[in-house]
Amino acid sequence: MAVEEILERLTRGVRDMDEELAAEAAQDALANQMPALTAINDGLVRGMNEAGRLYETQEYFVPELLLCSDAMYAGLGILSPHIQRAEEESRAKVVIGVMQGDTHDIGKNLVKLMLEVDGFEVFDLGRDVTPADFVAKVKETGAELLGMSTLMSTTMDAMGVAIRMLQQEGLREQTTVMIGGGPISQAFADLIGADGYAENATGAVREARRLLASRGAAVR
Amino acid sequence: MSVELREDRMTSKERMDAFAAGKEIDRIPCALFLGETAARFIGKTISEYHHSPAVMAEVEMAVFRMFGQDGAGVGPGLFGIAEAMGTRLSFPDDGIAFVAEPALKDWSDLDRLQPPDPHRDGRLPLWLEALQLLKEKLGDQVYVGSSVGGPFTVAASLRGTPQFLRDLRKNTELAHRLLKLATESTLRYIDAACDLGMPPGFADPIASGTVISATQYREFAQPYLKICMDRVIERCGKGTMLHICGDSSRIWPEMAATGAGTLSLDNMNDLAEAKVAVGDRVCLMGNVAPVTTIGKGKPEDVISEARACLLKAYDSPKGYILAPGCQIPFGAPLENIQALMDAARTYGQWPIDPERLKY
Repeated sequence: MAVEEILERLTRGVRDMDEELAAEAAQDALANQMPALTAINDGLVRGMNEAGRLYETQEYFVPELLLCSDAMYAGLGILSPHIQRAEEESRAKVVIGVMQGDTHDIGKNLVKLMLEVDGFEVFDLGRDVTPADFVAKVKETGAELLGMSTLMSTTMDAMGVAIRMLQQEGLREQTTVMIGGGPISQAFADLIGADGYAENATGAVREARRLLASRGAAVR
Repeated sequence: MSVELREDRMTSKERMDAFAAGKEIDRIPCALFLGETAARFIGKTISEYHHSPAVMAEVEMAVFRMFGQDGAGVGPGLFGIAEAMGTRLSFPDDGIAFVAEPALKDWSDLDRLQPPDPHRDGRLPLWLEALQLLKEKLGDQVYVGSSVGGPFTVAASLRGTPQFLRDLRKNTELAHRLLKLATESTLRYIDAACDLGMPPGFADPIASGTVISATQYREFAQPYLKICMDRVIERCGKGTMLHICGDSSRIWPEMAATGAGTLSLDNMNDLAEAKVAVGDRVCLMGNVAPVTTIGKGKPEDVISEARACLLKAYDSPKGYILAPGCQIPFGAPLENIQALMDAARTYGQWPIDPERLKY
């Protein structure tokens, strides 16, 4: 089977929310000795990027993105055990999670997925994460980026707490902090001294790239 | 131009009666969405509020004494109906309750779910009791009402939101069955509240234009909400408020077509656009930014945003109510909440003079 055709099916499987097609095409990629990383980046990731564009133009909404990400994970589940470590370039590390007191994680999961497909190494702390746990994970992993999310106005102030704790630990200079979620705005990010804010998942990836590049950090 | 703050010369009830009849009023009506986040005003935690009708009523009375806003009430809100059907909630002391475990993790359990008995199941009897207390204490001064989630939000709380959103595409028929059950369940609470003479308004945040498309709204949310609003109209004579969070501009006509008396708009939306689109069909309400302005801003920010809202919507054909764009967050400074009322009592004095609203 032609390489291009397999990649196109991987892309289409993700973009068109077709979990079976994505999984089937992933098997075909392996059967045709396609490097797993090629299948992921030029197939699945391309599909997720196309889904992201459809979301930005309001053709897709959250239900569609959830199903695209299901298809993406179906393909990734098959392909990722076959990634050869040598193929994998060194990647920027991100610690991500939903703030303590909040369990809304649809948005955080979308950002996580978008960051992963864009090549970041993501450490996901899940939901209801304390500021101390965010900071401890940054310290442990040496992550360049910390991403905190909340949908609730009641928990947003804890983001400022986490930033102050980073300072106390002497980690603030080396860590780029991004925040997002329903009640969050650029003004709030400025208020608590976060480096970046994005309105949605695709914007978050662009902002992460921009911030890291402006810091001169090694991105891939 | 500076304007003197003027004390109210009508009770809220008199004001809202005159407003509904298109007669002269003393000032623009002004609503506050505080709900459980006001528990701190009487030294109670949010979780205490959630489990005691006496505390609910006391909090709401304290809010009315402090601010004299238009409209008072309590209700099952977003999750109360689902909770009465088996969804487990978590109650942080000082945070909004959230869904810890949805009732319908597996579709095979669908037939086991039953519409709740509002006088017996979950905390529904608590709200009904609190409503009666409130009506006794405040009913002569202010209209007491209730609030409940729209069927789309109820269904999402029964199933778990991410799963339910997937179901819209993958299990369409089951999603509709669940929505029918959510509608029937909501109707039971509507009936119980209307029996007491206090019809509920609706909040349908999961049906937000930021979460689902207008097409999905038309198929999965609007028809079921309309059934609920029809019941309110049948029982109590007129449509109540409908609030949808996020950008609802693409679905304003459908929201108005539910028969709602008032559309409450999120601060993401523009009241001037809403006035043009649906102002001739429905009263508008909103939309001072609850988090950035009322929660985090200064009193003067609240006043200037309220003036901007008034300037955009004071002449909306079916009327306008000054209000936050969504629930006022826990911990918002008292002065900022007071500032919203002050704006209504200065710039909102009747008749409203647009020159006074401009800078």
